[in-house]
Amino acid sequence: MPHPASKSDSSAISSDPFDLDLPEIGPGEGPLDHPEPTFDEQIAHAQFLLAAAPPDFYELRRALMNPEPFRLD
Amino acid sequence: MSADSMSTIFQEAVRAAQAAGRDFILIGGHAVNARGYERTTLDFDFAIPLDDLAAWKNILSGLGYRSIHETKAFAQFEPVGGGGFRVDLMLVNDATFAKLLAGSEVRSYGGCEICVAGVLHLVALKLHATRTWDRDVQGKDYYDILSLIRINRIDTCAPEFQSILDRYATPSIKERLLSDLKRSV
Repeated sequence: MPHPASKSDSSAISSDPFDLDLPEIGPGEGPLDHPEPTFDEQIAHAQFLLAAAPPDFYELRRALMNPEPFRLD
Repeated sequence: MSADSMSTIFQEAVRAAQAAGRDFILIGGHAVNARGYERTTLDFDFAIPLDDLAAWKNILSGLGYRSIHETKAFAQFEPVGGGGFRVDLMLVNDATFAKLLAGSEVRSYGGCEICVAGVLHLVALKLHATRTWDRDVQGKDYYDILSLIRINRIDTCAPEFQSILDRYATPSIKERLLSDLKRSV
C-alpha cells in the first residue's frame, strides 16, 4: 500500500515552480544502492548512448569533458 | 547484458506506460545523460504521480519485472530472473508532478520521445538527494549537479537558481558549488 509522498503538500498551494513537495527520507527509506557497474555494463551503457543519444547530445558533450566518465548513481 | 537489452527494456517500459496513458518524467542518471552529461547509470528512473504506482506495477509485471523495494517515496523493480537493468520510480503528489511535468521537455532519447525533467528541476532533485539521505556527495551527485549547470549554461545569478540553492542545498554544498562555478572549466 503506497504512502503519501510527504506529510505536507505545500506545493499544492504554491505557484513557485521550484517549490516541490519532495519527501524527507529517513534511514532505510531511500532507494536501494546499485552495485558498481562491471566493465561489460559500462560498455553496454556507452553503446546505448552512442545508439540513442539525443541529436544535441554530442554538442553538449563537447562543451565539457567528463573527468570521471564511469560514475554510478 | 548488452546495449540492445538496455534499449529494449527502456523502449518497452516507455511505450507500455505511454500506451496506458500514464504521464511520467525521466529523471536520474539517464535524464542527466539526456541533458548532456555522460556518466554511467544502470537503472531507469522515472517520476510518477503517487496514484499511478499500481498501474506501473502492472506495466512492469507485464514486462517481466518484480518489485524489490518500496518505501513511501520510491518503488524499485528488477527483472524476475535477477540481473539486468532496474526501473526505479519516484512517487510524488499530483501538485509536485504537475510542476515537474510543466518544466519538462519532450526529447528524443533511447529511441523514444519522452518527457525529460527540466534541467533546473534536475538540479533541485539532485540537491535534495544530497541533503536528504545518505548519498556520497563526492561520488554520486555532486558532479552531476556541477556539470548540468555548466553544460546547460544555467544562469547562476538568476533569482530562480539562487532560490533553488537556498531551498535544496546544504550550506556546505552551496558553498562548494559556488566556489567551483567561479573557476574556469
